[in-house]
Amino acid sequence: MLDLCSKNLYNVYNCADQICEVIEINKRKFLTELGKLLTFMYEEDRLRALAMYERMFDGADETAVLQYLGSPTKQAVMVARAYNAKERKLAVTSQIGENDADVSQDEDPEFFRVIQDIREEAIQRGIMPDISDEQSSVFDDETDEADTAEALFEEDSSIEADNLTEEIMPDETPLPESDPVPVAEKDEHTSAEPVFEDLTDFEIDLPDEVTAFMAESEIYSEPVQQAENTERSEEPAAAGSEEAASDADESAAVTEAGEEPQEPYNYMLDLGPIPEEPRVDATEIDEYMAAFREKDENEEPVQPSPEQTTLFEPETQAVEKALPWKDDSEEENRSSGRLVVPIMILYLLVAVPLTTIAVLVLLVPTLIFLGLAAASGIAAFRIAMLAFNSFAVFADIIVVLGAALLLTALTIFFFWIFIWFIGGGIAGAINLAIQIGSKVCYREGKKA
Amino acid sequence: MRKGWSFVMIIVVVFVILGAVCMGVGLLTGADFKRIFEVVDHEYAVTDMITAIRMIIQNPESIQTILQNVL
Repeated sequence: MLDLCSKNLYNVYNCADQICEVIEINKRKFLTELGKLLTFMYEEDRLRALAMYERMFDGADETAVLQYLGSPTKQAVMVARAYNAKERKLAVTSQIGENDADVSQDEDPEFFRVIQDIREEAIQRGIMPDISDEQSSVFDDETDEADTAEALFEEDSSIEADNLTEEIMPDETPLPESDPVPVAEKDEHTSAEPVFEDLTDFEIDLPDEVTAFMAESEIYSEPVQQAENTERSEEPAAAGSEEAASDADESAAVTEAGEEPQEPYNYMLDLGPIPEEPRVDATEIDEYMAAFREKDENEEPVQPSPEQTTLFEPETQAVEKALPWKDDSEEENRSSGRLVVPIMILYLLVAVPLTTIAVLVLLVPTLIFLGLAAASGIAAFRIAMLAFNSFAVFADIIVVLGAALLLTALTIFFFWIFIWFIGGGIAGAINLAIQIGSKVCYREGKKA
Repeated sequence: MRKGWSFVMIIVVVFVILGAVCMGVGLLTGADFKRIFEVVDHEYAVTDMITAIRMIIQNPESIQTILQNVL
């Protein structure tokens, strides 16, 4: 009985906790969550998308916008569907290489249009204020977006701290936990606009959404793409759209009636059938990259702008760290050069005797220092033994021990010079011969 | 190699300083070099060795006689 009561109490606590979390979602939390979910994108695109989402809140009712947008996961799924990583990779590469001033004026990427469509729809529904043309040009301004997004992520640590605080303490305007009015009814009273989804869905459907998002986010993965394509080909697209429309109607009817939906809301159905993404042929990419490399080799290197430098510097550094062959320029030259066998044989004929002579010459002082070290070491040992065995006066013993210490110092010094001759002199001569050989025997050009 | 040099040089300098301090203390407390040399000469026949080297330098042919005496 006690166990049953404790279980019920635990369930009640969980429900209250979920309601609290639902209420606690605000603009900051939404953007932070979205930023985490969009990490599959390139940093530039991610900042751009986040800046666009942040602009949607300008001058609008935060609650209404959040209700319209739904969960961050839903928005991340929509962006992920419209995001083509391969095309964006090419675009980013061309931006770095060409440093073209008109890059920002290129055709907008697909995800950019999707976010703009969301915004326009919100304006049509009256959730967001209609921005004039001048303001909309500001909306499209990349630098402004980047600044805003960077400012947003500068506050990331403070946002995390706020989130922690929010988890501990309730929000500024929390609803009482014992509020008997259901969330769906409350939404009807507070906003006259049609509600796309309940905030409760954000918590309830989160595992499904995350699974869907994870499947969608692997858009670069060929096996996943193929599996999806086969599934899509099996199911007719028309049937899917009809199902989605009917489900959307049902959910709308349920919301209007003020009844809570029995089944969790599925965003995938609301979004309709998944459109087939435009595929880029691998040969086209290869041709483009080959043309880009040729152009890059012919042209003088262009210094990137400060914005591009700050934007891509960490990524470039990370790539350089991840590529071990980037560190050794000699290895790169050697691998890209062509081995000339006759020169190599000639070099061996000359270099091997010369190196041998150099090693032998270096061996003489090496052995001399070894002998000196050995002699001084033996002398130091004998004098130390003599000090304890043959002397009776304490002052004499101390003097002889001092002499033994001096000889020990000499021993250490001579022995180190001996090691230095072997490691620095002889090995250095051999290394020098190998380096000269690699420079002489390899010529620049295509690999043989 | 640079670290090795600095490490070795530190050890050498420490040993030299210790040796110098020991010799200074010994001399201050009444040590006598003449007495010390006598003991060392008695143990290792340093004087005989020095005499033999001088003879070899003056007359190289005497090396055979010296070696016969030693052996």
